[in-house]
Amino acid sequence: MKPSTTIALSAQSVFKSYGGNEALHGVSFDVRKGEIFSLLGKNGAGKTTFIRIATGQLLPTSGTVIVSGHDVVSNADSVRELISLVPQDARVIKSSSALEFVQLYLALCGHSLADSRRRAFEGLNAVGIGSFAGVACNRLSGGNRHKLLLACAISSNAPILFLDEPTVGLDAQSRRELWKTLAGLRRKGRTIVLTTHYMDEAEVLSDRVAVIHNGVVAAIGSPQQIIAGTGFELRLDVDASAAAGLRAPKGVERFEFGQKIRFVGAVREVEALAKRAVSMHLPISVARANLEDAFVKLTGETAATGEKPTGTASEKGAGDGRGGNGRG
Amino acid sequence: MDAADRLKRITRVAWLDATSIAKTNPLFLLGPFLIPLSLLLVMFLYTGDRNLAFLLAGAVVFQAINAGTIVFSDFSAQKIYFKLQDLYCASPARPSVYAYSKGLSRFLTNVPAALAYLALALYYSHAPLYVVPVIIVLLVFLLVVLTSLSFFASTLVSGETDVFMIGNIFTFTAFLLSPVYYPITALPAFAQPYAFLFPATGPALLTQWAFGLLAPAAWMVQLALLSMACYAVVAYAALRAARWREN
Repeated sequence: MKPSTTIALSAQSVFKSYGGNEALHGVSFDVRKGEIFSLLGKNGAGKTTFIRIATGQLLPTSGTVIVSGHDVVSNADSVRELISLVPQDARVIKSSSALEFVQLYLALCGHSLADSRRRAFEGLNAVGIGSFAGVACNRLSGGNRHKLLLACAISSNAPILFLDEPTVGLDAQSRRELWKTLAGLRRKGRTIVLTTHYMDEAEVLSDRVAVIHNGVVAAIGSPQQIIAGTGFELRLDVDASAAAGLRAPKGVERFEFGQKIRFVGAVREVEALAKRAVSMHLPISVARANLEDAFVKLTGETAATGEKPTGTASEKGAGDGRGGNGRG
Repeated sequence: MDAADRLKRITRVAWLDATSIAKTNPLFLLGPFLIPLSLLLVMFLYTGDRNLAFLLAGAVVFQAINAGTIVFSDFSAQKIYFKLQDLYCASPARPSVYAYSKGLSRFLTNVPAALAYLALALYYSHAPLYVVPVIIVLLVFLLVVLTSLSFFASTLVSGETDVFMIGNIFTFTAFLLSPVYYPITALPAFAQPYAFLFPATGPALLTQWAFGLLAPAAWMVQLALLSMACYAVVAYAALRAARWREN
């Protein structure tokens, strides 16, 4: 198949079953070249399964994934030349130095000793830990160990990077540093497909996101499109202990989380609710609705309205940020 | 990728890995000396120098057994603890390069001990130097077979308890049940043919023969060669069957 000039990855009706359990139920979407594309979903939604299929580790039960014109099943070796993966929960080998760790990875990929050394240095510098090249991995901070794994992926020069929850367990500072690195890679033309549970991360980093829920794409588009697709514009947070008398008007979703009650909806309704809360002398905070609000609605998590959130991608059209075939 | 390129990659990665291990923890190189030495000491105290040459020849063969079995823990740790197998699976790295480079890397860290025991075995057995290439071929064969089996087994384990259990089975069958440190004739006659079911028996017997320590019966040599041929096929099949990736 001739590689597309604009599409880095194309998934078409990907199904995957483990025994009787269906992890993916007809996932379809495209990832454009040079974009950061985030896969969002609850634990067990099928994000990692998809990544494993797209990187040639798992076979789909049916459906196809094409990476830069190569089918990941029938032309897996060609795909592996074009991709790099930072797996979920991977740890660096503690006894080796940072440089040796990256160099070993590159040598396994077929690079010569001199070339792997040069590339390893470049990779470490690219993620900002070049000065730690000679330091043993067990003396690196958690953030730098994550960067080390990223350095492996970068230094191979693969045009498409798959990062499975790359910032899990990192402090806020380290996460932001890693975001900066990823944004830099994007500017250099790399395509990045990542999974994350951090909605702020997806919102800040991604050109587009796909929300996977129950094995299907529940929504796809830019973070703004996803939020707009849910009809959410504004949110109002009230202390749970004080919000007993505050009822959600029609069109406003009410979510409980921690010690807060959050009302999310269109500007007019939420503003009206805020005025009512003020008149009741309730302490409130109002902000724009974000991706997390949209995600919670799409995946049905913590919805306190008693209603199941609206349907899955197959029931909704694409283009308004809601699922469909994901060709956004 | 042709065989020469594959061999080049294996050697390159093994060298990088072994030098990294040796630099980080030079004490690691002592292990391959000490394990046979402890056995040598006990046997020497009980039997004097009567079996010394056998023990030294066994210590040489042990270096390949040790590398080929300990690498099972390495593979398993990379998969279960470090979770790095996925990193390699989703790269151009070939399973054979990954597996044999690890095995060779382990063997390289055993080379100082292997050379020392080889020199001692040659001295005490009065064997000519030209047996050395034969012994190296036997060691490499044993390393390849055990590494293949270790790699295959590692791709099946799913937890740390599996690693412990299977690791013990490997060590027991490859190292203790096989007549490595003693002549096969020390076994009861009925058990001798069955010893060839274990991968280390054939190479160990031929090593002892090469050192001139044993004049095996013709059927023993035939069984040793047959066992090695079978294990060559098993090793190939194990590498092919290993669940490195589904695709």
